[in-house]
Amino acid sequence: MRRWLVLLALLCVLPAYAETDDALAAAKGVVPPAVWCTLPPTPPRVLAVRGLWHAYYGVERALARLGGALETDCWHSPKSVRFYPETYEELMTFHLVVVDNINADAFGPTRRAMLKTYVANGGAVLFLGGFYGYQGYHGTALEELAPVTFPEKDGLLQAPDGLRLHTDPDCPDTRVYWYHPVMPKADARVLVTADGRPLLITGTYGKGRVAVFAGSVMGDPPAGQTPFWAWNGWTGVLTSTLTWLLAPAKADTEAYRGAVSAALAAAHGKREAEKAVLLKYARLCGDRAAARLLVETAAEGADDISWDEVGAIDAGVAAYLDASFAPLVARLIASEQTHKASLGLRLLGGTRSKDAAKTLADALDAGDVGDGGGDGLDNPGGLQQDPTYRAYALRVGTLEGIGRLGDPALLPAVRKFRDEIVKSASRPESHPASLLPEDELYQEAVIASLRCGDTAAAGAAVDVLLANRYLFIQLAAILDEQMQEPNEQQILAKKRAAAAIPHQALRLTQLPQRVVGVPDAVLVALAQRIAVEKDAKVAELAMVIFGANTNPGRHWPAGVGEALQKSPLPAVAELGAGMR
Amino acid sequence: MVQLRLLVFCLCALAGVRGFAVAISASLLPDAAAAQAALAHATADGRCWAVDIAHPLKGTLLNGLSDGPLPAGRYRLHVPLALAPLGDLNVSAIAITVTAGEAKRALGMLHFPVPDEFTDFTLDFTASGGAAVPFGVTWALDSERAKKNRTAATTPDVPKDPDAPVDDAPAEEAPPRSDADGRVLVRELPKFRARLAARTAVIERLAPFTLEVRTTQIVYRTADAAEATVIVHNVADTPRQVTLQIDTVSGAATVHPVHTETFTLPTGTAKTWTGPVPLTGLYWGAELRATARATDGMAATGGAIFGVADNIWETALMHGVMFTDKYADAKSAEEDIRRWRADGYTGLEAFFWAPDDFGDFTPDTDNYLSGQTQYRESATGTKNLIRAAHANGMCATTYANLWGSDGAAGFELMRKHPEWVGGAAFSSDWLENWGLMEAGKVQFELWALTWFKQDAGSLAAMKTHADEVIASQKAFGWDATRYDSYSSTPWTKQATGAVRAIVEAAVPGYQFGYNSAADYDAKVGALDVMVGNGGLLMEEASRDVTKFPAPISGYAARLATLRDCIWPHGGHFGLCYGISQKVPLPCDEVYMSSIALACGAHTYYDHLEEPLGHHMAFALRYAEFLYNNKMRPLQHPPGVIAFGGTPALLEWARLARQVDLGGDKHRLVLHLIPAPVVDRTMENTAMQMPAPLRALPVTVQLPAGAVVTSVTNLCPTAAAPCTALPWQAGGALTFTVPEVRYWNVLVIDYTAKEGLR
Repeated sequence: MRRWLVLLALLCVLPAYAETDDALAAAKGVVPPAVWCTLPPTPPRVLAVRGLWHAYYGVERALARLGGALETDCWHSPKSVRFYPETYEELMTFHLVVVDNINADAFGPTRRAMLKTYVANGGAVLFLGGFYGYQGYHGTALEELAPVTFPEKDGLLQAPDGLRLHTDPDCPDTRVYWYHPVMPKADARVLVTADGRPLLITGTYGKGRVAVFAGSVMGDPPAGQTPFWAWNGWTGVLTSTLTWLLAPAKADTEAYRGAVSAALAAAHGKREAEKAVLLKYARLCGDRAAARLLVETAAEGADDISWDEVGAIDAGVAAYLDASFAPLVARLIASEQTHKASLGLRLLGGTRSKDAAKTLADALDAGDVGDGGGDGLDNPGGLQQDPTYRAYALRVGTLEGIGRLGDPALLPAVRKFRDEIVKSASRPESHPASLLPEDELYQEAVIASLRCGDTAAAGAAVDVLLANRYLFIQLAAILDEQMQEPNEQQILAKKRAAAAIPHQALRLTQLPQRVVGVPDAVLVALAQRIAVEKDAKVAELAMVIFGANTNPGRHWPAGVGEALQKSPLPAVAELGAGMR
Repeated sequence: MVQLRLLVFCLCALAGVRGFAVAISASLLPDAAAAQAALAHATADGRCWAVDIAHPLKGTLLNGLSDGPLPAGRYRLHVPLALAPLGDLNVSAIAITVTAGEAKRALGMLHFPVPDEFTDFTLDFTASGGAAVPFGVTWALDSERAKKNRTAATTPDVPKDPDAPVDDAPAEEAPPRSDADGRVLVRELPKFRARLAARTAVIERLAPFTLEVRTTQIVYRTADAAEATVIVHNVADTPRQVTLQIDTVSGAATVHPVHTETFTLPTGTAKTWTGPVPLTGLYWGAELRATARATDGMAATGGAIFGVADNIWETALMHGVMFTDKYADAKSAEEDIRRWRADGYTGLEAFFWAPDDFGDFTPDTDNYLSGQTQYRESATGTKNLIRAAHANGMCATTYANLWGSDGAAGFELMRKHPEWVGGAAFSSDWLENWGLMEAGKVQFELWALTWFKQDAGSLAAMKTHADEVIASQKAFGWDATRYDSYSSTPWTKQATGAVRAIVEAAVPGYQFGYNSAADYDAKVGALDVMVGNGGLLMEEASRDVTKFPAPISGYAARLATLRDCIWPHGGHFGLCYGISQKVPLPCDEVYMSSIALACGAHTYYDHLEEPLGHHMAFALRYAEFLYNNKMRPLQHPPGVIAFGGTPALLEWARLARQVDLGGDKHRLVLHLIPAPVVDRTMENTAMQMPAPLRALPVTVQLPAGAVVTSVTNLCPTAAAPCTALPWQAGGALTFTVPEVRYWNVLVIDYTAKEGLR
């Protein structure tokens, strides 16, 4: 009898489960990883899902007040969130996800389930309200992880005369005009109310933390009233909330090493399987031992590694390089395999070995190392054996190596190379829709110059960093272009853009980080250039370059903070103010 | 057989031009009568010069000189030309050029009514004196279409199965024998597979004057003070006494004297008259006509067409404008406006120019990106354009949306008033990057838009919109707003009414237009609120007849239906005339232009057919017979009108209009458009056209006691576009239309106690 009852109960429950986000994600084969890895909490890595009117919330200003963060952006359209992480491994690289004015449908069930798992494993989410905010959250994984319940319908209400905010300590008369009627869960904390309605609510879910802001930046305040987003105290409220959300973040490197070792063992030395492991885990590298494991794996294989692996491994291990890597790096350079050699040259600068400067200078000059070229056995007739390509790949590695070494003695050679290659690079005013090898080499040369102490390169460096963003925007626009009757050229352009976007997205994150730790001599010039930039996205660059979180313990030369404070962008000025 | 055909083909190709490019001389004849006599003599002669145009891509038919030095003066070259076969790929894209001195005239296959029938083509020119004047007739097939047609016409059909029997194709005949001066017998012309022939060439002396006639504006309001300038040049080598007579001609041929004077013009000099032009008694279209008469009675004429209307839509022929940043230089705006006016446009519509097509028609900065398309626009440029348009009597209208907002400004409106918005289409990065686009850092074109809830709450948005329209009108000077993608619902009816009430109260006479489906608007009873008081409703979907093959008869039926939906409500019928969506076939252009105008459509954007008939100028000049929206259909046209021989005419019964002109005056207007041979656009590459209807008898049963005052035959493709026809009025009115080729408008004015119904 009991067996029948259990079966009956299951039959009743199963259809409901089948419709849940978890079940729908599982049906697509998206299941949480066995091991959850977390990166070191400094600098905080923030994924911003930027909906309409994101700038009004001033999230970047609050992050700047916190000492900066590494921000990765994705954007919203009512049916999707573009450039959002597709895998758990990508998602777990972030300490905080800001979900600003996004409807549930835009995420879809899989991403909703992933976000819930992410929080359960220690991640943090800040939800912000708006026209699309909380639409469809009722009954989804997003409601499960949130400290509130969401109404099934009528989820956005207007208060034409505004509701007065009450914070602790209480704030002056400041108002919200459109809000979401959420209901705090039993264990939630209500930090801010608006005329008695819960406005900022926090809570925990599993190991993670979640904050819900039930207001929005919508409305047209009558004359004489101050909306909360224009209130000076709002940044403080947001900063406190972010601080609380990020507090539990800590690295779990042991788990990571275990995971990567197990994955590599399971690959049984097979090239494709190892490649998948490296690409998956490189971004999660959290300590020196793990970094060594990655480099060893790259160096050991008989075949050359891919260009994607070069970028991923370089970015993952960069923070942990020291002299102990020198033998591994030498093996990579001596491998005669193009991509391995390029990776070796990149890492060489970080080993600071005594012959690094000469090796790099020679490589820059010759566009090659050693005897030049491999035997091609790994990929007969492949791109890596093409002399032009090989020269390009090795010079990219060389310039990164030189930048990492930061030896001013190499500056003349880099300048010479830069001044030559710029002649072949794309002109910004032509709105290029691809990154030519010459563009990439020019950009690397500019960044390398800056890292070697070239004050004159500061302006060009910021231009290069922004140009990368503009290229990303152009590529994204090509993907979005609405064409009634596309011709072959337009179809091809879309295909090319789709292929180039992932690489460009990675470059957007990685290139600014190379400017971290540049010599004191270039900082004032860099700050001055950033301070005159009107593009609001320069704030994200500024946070990387000048944030306390990316430069722990660094003392800033006089003039840097003052220069930044002159920026018309609140987030940049905030960084400058924080340097006092 | 195939081999034989190929051999013939190759021999022909090797031989190059067949036929004869001849050098001839043309006699100078003292007047038109002498010229006609010479032409008649040439006809009787039965010979002509001819070239085979079936194989080469270009050639010369005639190269000639006047038969002696021509004294300085004005002359007319007469060249009777014939072409055959017509409606054939070999000749469908032929471009014939007639030259005389510095003058040039282009002809195509559609200029020729019947194969091998000679038509007298004329070309007026000026001789500076002291030398013989060269003239010529050349031809070419140099367009891509022509080459394609020629390839299709000359490629032998090779059977797929080499062993299959081959159809015997007729072997090419030997060319006709030519006589000593290179002429062949006209009756032997068919021996050429495709041919161009000239019967003769004569030169007629004209009055030695040229006239430039300009009105200050292309369209006036009745209360305007009109002014005109007439310049008479004496191109003769002796002083001449001139009597200059200036009139306005309205309706079919109603003449209103403006000015007369007599003066002597020294050699090579000009006299300019500038003065007022009374507009009293003028409405719709008119011509300012100047005649310079010499003492020997010979006269030269010149004219300028203009309109008189108090509602901009009544004479609207609209040009589209975008990228106004290039007009920040006022000279550039003036030049383009002058060009568009010369092309016959009477108004312009600036589309995709506003920061937000609903809520922002007053840009905050002078240079900005438009909301819908991110075009670079300039407030100064737009103002320059409107100022120049108004100075030329052209109206200036703005494009708008009633259903929602767009661009960064539109989303800012949504942020402030989400209560109005039902949804949106965007990606948030597009809007984030707006500033970068403005700064020129990135460049793309993506439409981020919102749409309103159709409820009582969102009607509040209409106040915002109306206020913006008013503010923009005051800042820029717009004459009207045309809504795009308008769709009638109970909500749009309310919204339209609300906006019109606010705007019309603040800007009396401000007009509105809509891009909508008139038949649906009529069905839901929305037309009074939309076009009552003289608004315009524009049909866009029909533009696709030049994008995808479609029945021409369907085009006519659709336009006729829409006109009859709109006019009873006091509105005007606009038409998105999208001929440029694909390279148009000239025969499609002729049909589309004729049908559009016969249906009373005010066309938007593309130019109406030009080389064959000056349809733009015709539309304005004869607007009274095309655009008077008080004209109504007849209840039973076949019961009133009959044509001899039951010709196939396109929608003639639905196009027939009657109108009461006040008192006992009435008018009947008939549109005769021969039904197409190939009833599909884009497919008639051989350009097969119906044979001309000649001497077409027409009988009209007018009301009892009716007295006919005039029967007028209007035709944009005829040498004389307006001619009075003789008639007989017994029991019924009868008259004969000399020729109907593409489109004729017959205007019958009569008096009767009651008009036709």
